[in-house]
Order: sequence, then C-alpha cells, then structure tokens
Amino acid sequence: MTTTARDTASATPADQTTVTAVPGLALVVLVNGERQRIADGTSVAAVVDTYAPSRSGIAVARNREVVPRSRWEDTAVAEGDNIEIVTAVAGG
Amino acid sequence: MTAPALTATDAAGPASSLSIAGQQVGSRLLLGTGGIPSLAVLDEVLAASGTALATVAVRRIAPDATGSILDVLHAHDVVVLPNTAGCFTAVDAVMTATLAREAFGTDWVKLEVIGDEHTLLPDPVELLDAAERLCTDGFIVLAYTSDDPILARRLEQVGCAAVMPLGSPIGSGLGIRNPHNIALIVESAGVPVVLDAGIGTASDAVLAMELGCDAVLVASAITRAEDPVRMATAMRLAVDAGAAARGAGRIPRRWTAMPSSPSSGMVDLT
Repeated sequence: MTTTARDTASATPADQTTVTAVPGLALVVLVNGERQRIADGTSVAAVVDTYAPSRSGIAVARNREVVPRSRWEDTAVAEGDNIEIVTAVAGG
Repeated sequence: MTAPALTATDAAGPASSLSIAGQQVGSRLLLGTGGIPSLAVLDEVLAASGTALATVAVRRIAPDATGSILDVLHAHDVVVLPNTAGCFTAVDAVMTATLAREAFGTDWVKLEVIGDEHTLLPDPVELLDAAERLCTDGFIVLAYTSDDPILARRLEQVGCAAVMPLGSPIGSGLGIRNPHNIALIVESAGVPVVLDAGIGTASDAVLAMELGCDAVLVASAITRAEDPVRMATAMRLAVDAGAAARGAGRIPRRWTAMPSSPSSGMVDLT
C-alpha cells in the first residue's frame, strides 16, 4: 500500500510508529498544531524557513522550550516534537 | 492684552516627559494595535496619535500573512511592547513573554493574565505570580491589572515597572467605572500608572489624566472607531488636555455657588 505524506500526517499520535517506513520523510512532528512529515536530521532553522518569509521577528518553541535563534541551525527536530513558530500580530 | 500662547506641553512642564524603567517614552498615549483594520490604517493612526509605544500580540505565524506589523511600527520609530494577551495562567504568560523576548529582542512586556473570556478581567493570583517570575527573570513588566489599589501595590512591590489598571473591561468602552480607585492607585504608586482598557472616547482619556495617571493606553476606542485616524488625533489631544489640566490644578468642588464677579461696588438700582 502506498501511503502519502499527507495521509499519514493525519494519523493520531498513537499511529506515529507506522510512518517511519516512508523513505525520506522519517519524522512526524507538530508544527503550529499541524502534523507534518519531515526528513530525519531537519534543523529548526529549516522548519522556520518553510513557514516564515523572513527570520526576523520570529521565535520558536520546541516542546514548550524556547529555542534561541543562535541554536536554530544546530538543533535537529526529533520524532514527535511539538514546534511552535510565532511572530507579532496586531493585539492588545 | 493677549495671553501668551501656551501649548499643553508647556503647561504640563518638565513632568510632561514619561519615563518607564528609566527609559523616556515620547508620548503619554500608548497604542494598542488590536482591532486595527489594516496595516495601512495603522500607519496613519500611528502618525495621528504621536504614540511612541505600541502593543503587539504573540501568535502563530500565518502562512498567508502579508506585511509585518513590526515593519510599520519601526517605520514610525515606535517601540514594540509585546503582550501576553490570551494567557490564563502564570506559566503560559511567562512562556509567551519569553517567546516575545526572543522574537523581538526586548525585555519589555505588557503582562496580561486573564480569568475568563467573558469579562477578560485579570486573574489577580496568576497575575502576581507571573509578574514576580518575570521581574526575577529580568523583564521590564508593565502589568495590566484590575482597579484594585492593593493589587497595584503588590505588583509594584514584586518589581513591576508600571501598573496598568483597567477603567472597565477590555473593549467595553465603558470608561472609568471607579475613578476613586484609580486616584487611590495614583496616590500611592511609585511607578508610572497607565490607564488601560475601557476607554471609549476622548473624555475618558482626559479623565484618566486628570486623575493623575501618567499615560493612557488606547486600543479599541481608536482601532474600532468609525474613523480611527480622527479618533487617534482626538486621543492625542485628550491626553495632552488631561495632563495640562492635572498640572494646572482644578478648583475644588463646592456644594453651593461662589460668585465670580465682585460683590462689592454694586450699582444701587433702587
């Protein structure tokens, strides 16, 4: 059976072990609440660049811990990580 | 004889300069950007208001976001004040403030910890807890608080750089429901008092300044006005007028009339 990234990406957390068989996109992570499949060894910086048009005015939390900007390049995303990428919006 | 021209700034004297945590803030009108219809309107509102400090919220980046509110604020040399709006617990507020510090490179935070969605009133227990943690961690905390003088004092004691009592619930436009409490907060505060939340129109901002507040934060009253740019101008004038009146010293209230014309030298018309 062929499984696309998107199909598998909608799996529940309990199903995450089943997706490691897909070559190239070994990890399932949450990015801003959406389940995503990404390659093993992907850095936080690479995830940020996928989501944000620019790196300024951005902060990243990984499993409720802030990842300092200086660590984005050398921090690899791990299976099951919960990544939040935030910026400024009108408010307050 | 013509009286010399007197601007609001002159009338208020040297005290017209607002200082928070030792940093000069160029205007006593702070802007909350929530509810602004567009970045183009924000651009005009910033110019009309003359504000030097404006709040932003911290949220997930939107994939389809066009333009950055930060760019608009920077273009006007407005200092960014991130808030913790939407947080219900001290833990969440500290996390949000920490993200904001990383994202915007500022230690300043407008601390909001609310108790429920219905009233958006501060949760005093979580608020004080969050304030203490953030101050300990080196943040410059401007605390959105209820109009309780004792809580304001406690917030100052844990190190807040400013207290921001509400006039009435956020976005309600109900004005200052308890002027007496605001005056009590002003009377005992050793840090700037910023009236925050509840302002509906210019007269509310005037009253806040007349009560002795050091500044006023206005969001919805400007951003959701029919004409936000004109209301921004009105609020700028209102804050100046209120500050000038406070500095000038109002007459005491009396139960009965006191004639303003001399009682002596009356013409005998009998």
